[in-house]
Amino acid sequence: MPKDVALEIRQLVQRGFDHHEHERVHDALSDWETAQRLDGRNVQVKRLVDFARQRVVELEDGQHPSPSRRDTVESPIPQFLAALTERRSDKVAIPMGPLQDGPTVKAGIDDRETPENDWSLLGEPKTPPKGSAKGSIIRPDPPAFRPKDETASDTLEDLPMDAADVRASANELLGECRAALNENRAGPASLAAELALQLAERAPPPGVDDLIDPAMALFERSFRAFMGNPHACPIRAIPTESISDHGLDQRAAFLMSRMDGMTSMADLIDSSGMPRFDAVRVMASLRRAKAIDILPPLP
Amino acid sequence: MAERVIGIDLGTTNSCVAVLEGATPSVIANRGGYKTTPSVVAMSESGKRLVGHIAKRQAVTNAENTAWAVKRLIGRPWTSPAVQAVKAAVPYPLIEGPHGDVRIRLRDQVFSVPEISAYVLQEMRAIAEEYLGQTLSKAVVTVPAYFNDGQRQATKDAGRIAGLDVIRIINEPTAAALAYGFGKKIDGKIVVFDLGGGTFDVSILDITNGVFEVVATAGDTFLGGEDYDKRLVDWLVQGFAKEHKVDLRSDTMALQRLKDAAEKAKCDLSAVRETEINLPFIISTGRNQAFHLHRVVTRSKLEELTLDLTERTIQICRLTMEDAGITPEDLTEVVLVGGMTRMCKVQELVGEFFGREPCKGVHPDEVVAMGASIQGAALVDAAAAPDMLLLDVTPHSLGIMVAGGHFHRLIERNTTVPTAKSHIFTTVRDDQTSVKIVVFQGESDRAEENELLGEFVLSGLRKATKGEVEVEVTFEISADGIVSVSAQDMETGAEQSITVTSTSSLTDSEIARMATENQDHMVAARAEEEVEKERQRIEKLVEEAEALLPKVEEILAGTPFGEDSLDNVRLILDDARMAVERRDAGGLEQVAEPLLRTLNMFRGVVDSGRSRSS
Repeated sequence: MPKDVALEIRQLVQRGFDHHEHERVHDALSDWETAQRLDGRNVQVKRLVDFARQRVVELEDGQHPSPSRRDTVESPIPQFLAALTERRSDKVAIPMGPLQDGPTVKAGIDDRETPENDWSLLGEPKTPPKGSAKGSIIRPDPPAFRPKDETASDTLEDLPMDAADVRASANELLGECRAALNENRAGPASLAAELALQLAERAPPPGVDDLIDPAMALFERSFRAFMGNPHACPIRAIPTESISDHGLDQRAAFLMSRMDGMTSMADLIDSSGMPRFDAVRVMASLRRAKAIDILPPLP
Repeated sequence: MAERVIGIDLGTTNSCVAVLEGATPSVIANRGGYKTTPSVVAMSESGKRLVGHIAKRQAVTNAENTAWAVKRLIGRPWTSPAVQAVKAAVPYPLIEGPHGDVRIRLRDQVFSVPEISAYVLQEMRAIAEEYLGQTLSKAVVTVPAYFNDGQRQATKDAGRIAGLDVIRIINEPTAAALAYGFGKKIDGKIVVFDLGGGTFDVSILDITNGVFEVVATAGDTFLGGEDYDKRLVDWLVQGFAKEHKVDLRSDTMALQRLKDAAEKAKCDLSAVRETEINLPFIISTGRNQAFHLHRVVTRSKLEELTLDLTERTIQICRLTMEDAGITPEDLTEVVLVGGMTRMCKVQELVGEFFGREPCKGVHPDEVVAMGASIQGAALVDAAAAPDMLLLDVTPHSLGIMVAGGHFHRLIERNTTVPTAKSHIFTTVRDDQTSVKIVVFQGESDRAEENELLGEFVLSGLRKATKGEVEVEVTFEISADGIVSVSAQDMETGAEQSITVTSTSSLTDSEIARMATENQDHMVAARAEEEVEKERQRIEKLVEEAEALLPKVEEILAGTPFGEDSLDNVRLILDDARMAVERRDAGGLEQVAEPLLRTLNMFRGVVDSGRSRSS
């Protein structure tokens, strides 16, 4: 068969993505530059080259998190649920709000703008240093509040939560979500939405559906605001194999498998086959877990 | 300069567009860099129309709202066995249309089959327009050689709905031979072996002095690459079930990933001897136990799994050759068409059967569109392809029903088109004043076993003893393969005729309405894009203004006009944010100017603040 340049470019682009998700940014750049030499007019490839060059500069300037830092990104959600458990058993008050140092359990949303919320289209959101309260939703790594049995904490029936506490927390989270969104703080709004949903999913009878159901539109707005430009195109920033480390499931894996650097977030959501709300929610989780990077929209 | 004509291979599973540039046919890649685009149309949950790769990638997870392989349905009546076979095989709902035609329901909307094909044609047109940077309105579209009149007409209707003037419909094997023979001297009989994504066709063409004639054609409309993929998917599913006791078919997302991976692995195995299928987190169970699928597939395993499919294609070739009275020695070339012919085993068996190495000078999935583009250029500019004359044949016999329900053939199958044939019939009853001409297409001697194309009545005949009144029936087939039938009373000269549009096709007003609706949809989509662009622009301005605001507040603090101005500015920013969030076109337009003014003011304040402090 005659040489197929288009096929060769596609293979190089794909190989570049593989390098990128394994943090081999220089190799990714090299593959994409080779593809660009094959077809200088290819807008898709040009966009990737620009992205990788910027990433290389960030790496060299030390602005970009190293793989090890990326690996330490923790989902605040299990800790939040653990905190609820603690609250019930130890009757410790959980103030919702800015975090402070000290032993008190926190289960609030940071109402300050954090680097995490600055979702630059080409930049990697900064991860706060480990142990620092700034930018965290829950004080990082609080051994005392970890669920004693992590497997058990993943299942609803095993969570020893008190219905009244859950209701109070759900109300607070709703308030946090609404306030944050009104103040244009998409990160905290989105996280509050996610926490409220997880809480509702695990709540003991009679549940909190009467509070959560009317807020679904608010939650979706929060997730969308957090995702930013719907025409921007996500790419995988971590290998799919490692998503469980980030508290993500096979729906996230499915969405990641659709990411090709050309399909916009809006199209990914539309073509996910999932209910739209679920797709937006999973996408926000991926973004929160720093499992994806974002390319600007195709021109 | 003559208007450019694009050539479109409207395939069952993939479509391809090409244009003649200078003296070379060029296949145009889509935005994703792919030279073929899936012939798949879907309706998303939000009501958005998805076409091509994006539609294909959600075909399993949104199966009920994704139409694929509609080419198997186009131009066929609801009652046709082929439609019923498709109905049983596809997950999207088919319903009977108002003219006994087939309609497809996607979410809450019902579409005719030509409409779905129109969306694919429109996509191909858009790909070509983006590449060429000009508006295009003329196209040559290819169809399988066995397509009957109704199917050809319905394909033309699809073009009209897409806003395209389909200036010629040509047979796929003819287009392939045209591209293969373009610019070189070929004479003799060639075989076009076309194994695509969903169908298999084999055609024998006789090429003499630039004249292309299809002398025989056959195939299987339910045999193609998807069947190969399915074998691989089944093998993976079974292996996984054996290992983990989990059925991947129970999860549509898992199945979608599996299907995509199987197709990719199949393609890879045409170039390498083994490949890996690695699907982390393919499924998790109720206890949150995650499973990964990792399997190595070898080329020989794939060949073993699909050998019967490949052998079936050879069996069809054997029958076709026998039917046409041709032996492999009579052939000068074997041309491979369709992505599946990249598979080594297919090439091997084809080579063995025909006793020669298949030619590999053209890309099998691009050659048909290339041929269509050559034909298109030749139609508007004879100099583009000098000495080229296309002669196709009618793939089925055409005739009318006569007394006793018998089928009287007027045009035998494989007759070269354009053609016209006449025959004189007489009345069968005494004092018969009218005759009903019922037109069929097919090979059975029983009319009812063939495909009904149309019917009309010639009335006002003289009352006479049976057999006395003579009626001449004439069949004409145009170069597009469109059939016209007329009946004339030999005594009075009274005449009735129809252009057969098949009993299942759309009316003119329906096509016009669908074309308008489609146009409206495109205008709305474009308007939506404009709003989105403006939304993004305003969003950026808001972001910049918000970033400057704290600095401006600091600089203006304590000044006599500061608080009033800032209150005003905050209102403007609130309005802008709201317009951005609501994607409100009017609101965006309203805030654009004051926002820009605000931003300029901010920039000025910050600059002056900077120079004061320095």
